Amino acid sequence: MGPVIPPVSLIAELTHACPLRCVYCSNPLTLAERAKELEPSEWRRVIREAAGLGVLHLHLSGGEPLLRPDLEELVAEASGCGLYTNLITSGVGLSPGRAAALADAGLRHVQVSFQADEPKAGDVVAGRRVHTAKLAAATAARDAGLALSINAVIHRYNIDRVEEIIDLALGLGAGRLELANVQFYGWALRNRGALLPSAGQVVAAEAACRRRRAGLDAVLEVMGAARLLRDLPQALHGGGGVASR
Amino acid sequence: MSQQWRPVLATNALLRYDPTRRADVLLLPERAVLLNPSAGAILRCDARHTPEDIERELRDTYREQGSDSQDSPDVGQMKAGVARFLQRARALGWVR
Repeated sequence: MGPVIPPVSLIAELTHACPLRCVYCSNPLTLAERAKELEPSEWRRVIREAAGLGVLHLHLSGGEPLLRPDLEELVAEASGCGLYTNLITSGVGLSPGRAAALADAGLRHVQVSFQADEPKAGDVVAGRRVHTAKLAAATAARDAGLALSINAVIHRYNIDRVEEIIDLALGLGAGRLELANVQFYGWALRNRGALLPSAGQVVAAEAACRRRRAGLDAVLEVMGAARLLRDLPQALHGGGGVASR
Repeated sequence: MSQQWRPVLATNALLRYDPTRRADVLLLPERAVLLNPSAGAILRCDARHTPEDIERELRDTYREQGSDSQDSPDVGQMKAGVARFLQRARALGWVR
């Protein structure tokens, strides 16, 4: 056996609870009960051990990690270990006060998900009226001095608006935008008939990303545009080619 | 490149030594850059320095470390190398 290459990042799913009800993700059957979540002391140990293995990035995810009252404590532990800490959040619950407390604890980067570029479609996909709260969360993150990324899960109902999504990210002062295809497993797999964009939509979205990307390089890093083409065609040919991670 | 430019690490960047990889690393959102010793030395120079100051400081450091004149790089080459690296670092958003 060759030498072990140290891992670079750790994605910590702190909870599977989430205030959103996105059609492609919501898991009302629950993946893990809240009572079975790791205790703060257990997560602190995991974080220390990860840093010891050479992990450099810690991604605090869920569910909605802001539902964990010990989030600041875990961020502080990670920061003390030299980890670059990223919060992956719906934005719901990220008040200016909480953003400032997390920044004080050593948080560096926040990734806020958006379901659409405007409230009506966004709230339909999220199953809750949360779009406005997300805008406020992104602003709170920036005001707290945190780097901001926007993540938009792309499907049939928002793929025609990738340019508007780029404008949303620019307006919020994000440094990165991830355009991520729906991952077709779980509920998304069951709902694939409704979520899959047409081939024409994919081609048009790709062209729009290419067009906009040229003028953006230094301001905003748009990730994942190429993936729109790479993943989807296989799923478009008759459902046999479901994209996996 | 402006003579007055004093490169400073991007506010979202974290530069530190990584004992596991025995190298300086530059950490940014969704990105970790493993730096070679000279890249780390350049990025460790703080914002009060112009690229020329950085080059001069590195040269002094190498001299103190006892590299003899035959081993130390040509002044012109080193200036160009530092300037090129800093321009790339700026284009990549590591410094501003």
